[in-house]
Amino acid sequence: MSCKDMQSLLMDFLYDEISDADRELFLAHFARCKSCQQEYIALKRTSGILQEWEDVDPDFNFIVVNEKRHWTDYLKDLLAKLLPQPKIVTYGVIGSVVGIFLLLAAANTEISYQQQQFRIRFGLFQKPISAEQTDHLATQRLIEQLQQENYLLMTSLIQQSEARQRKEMTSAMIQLRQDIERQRIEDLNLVGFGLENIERNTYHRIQKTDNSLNEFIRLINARSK
Amino acid sequence: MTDTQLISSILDGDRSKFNALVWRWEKPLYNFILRYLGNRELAREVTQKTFIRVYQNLSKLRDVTKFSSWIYQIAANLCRDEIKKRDHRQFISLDMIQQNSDENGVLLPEELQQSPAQQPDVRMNQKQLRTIVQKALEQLPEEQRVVIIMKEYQGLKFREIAEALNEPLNTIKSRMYYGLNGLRKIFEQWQITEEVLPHEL
Repeated sequence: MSCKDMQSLLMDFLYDEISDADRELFLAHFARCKSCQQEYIALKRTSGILQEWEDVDPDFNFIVVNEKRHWTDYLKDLLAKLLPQPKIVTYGVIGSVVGIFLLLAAANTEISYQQQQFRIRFGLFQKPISAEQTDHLATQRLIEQLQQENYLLMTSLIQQSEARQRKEMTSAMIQLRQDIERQRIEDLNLVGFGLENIERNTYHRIQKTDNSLNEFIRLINARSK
Repeated sequence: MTDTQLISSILDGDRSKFNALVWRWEKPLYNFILRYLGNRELAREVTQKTFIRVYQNLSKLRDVTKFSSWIYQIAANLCRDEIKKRDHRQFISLDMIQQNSDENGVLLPEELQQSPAQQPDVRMNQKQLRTIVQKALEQLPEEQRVVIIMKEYQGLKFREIAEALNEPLNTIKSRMYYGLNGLRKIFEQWQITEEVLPHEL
């Protein structure tokens, strides 16, 4: 192999990066090549001179990352570490937990309708109720029951009163209507009677007039004869 | 904690761990950029930019074990951008090149305006030598210079350099070879021999 072919291996050898196989190949050439030996020495010396330019310390401060992290970021990181992978499993776990929560909440939910208002109360983990609380709750329930009954009674009374008023009003109206009808019939009878009298009087007067005229005509006829 | 563990913590949300990453990397990264650009102010600026870009793009890093190559890749890209900008802004006058160049057209640093050959007994101090090395590196083509800096000073493997620069491995070794030989010639021309070094190699 020529010296030119050895250039790459010379670099590997100079910087101690040569493989065992290449080292044998290189040394076989190197041992008998004066030119390569001289070049090696010269380049080694050049490399030594280069080392005279020593490192310096930076005389200033470099950027420092001082990122303020929000506590939610830490929470996200913690969750990312704790939660199983892949995401579908994570979502499954979260969905199950939420489902159980909702079931428990639904089991302890009270919905009531009182005094035209809906009331919803729900709780997951209710505390055990003490005797005092029980008495208090019983009293409260009794009061609520009485209030409910009272409310129903009042409502019933009001409804009955309204019904009675409606009934009285209806009967009064019927009576009034009957009175008006009767009065009207009487008025019509009176009118009819009056008209008959007029008719009768008129007839008599016409009869009289007729008789008088007949008598007058007879007299005229008698005179003319 | 290793870099990999730190990056995993950062990606898991513990952004404060980025400080540890900065403290670990600030010195090598700053020195890499300083050698690449040769200017402290610019090196500071580009180092900051590199860390910002690393912070912004850390989640896009596919293989965490290749962080070292990745961070140098970002730094090298930013350095290249800076050099392009600088090339637009600055130029060197032809007169200056003619006055300060040797017979091969290689720019001579001020330290060598009076050749060490003329003062054979004077050993150079560390600062002078540092400047000469810097000037010598500046003479190299950029593609060779970056490989030499990554290898000689950052101690990256050839494979890592290839990953950082996105070039084939053999291309990197070839650039290293020609770069080193280029420097060797420059040092020979400037008569930087073992005699002028402050200590023996």
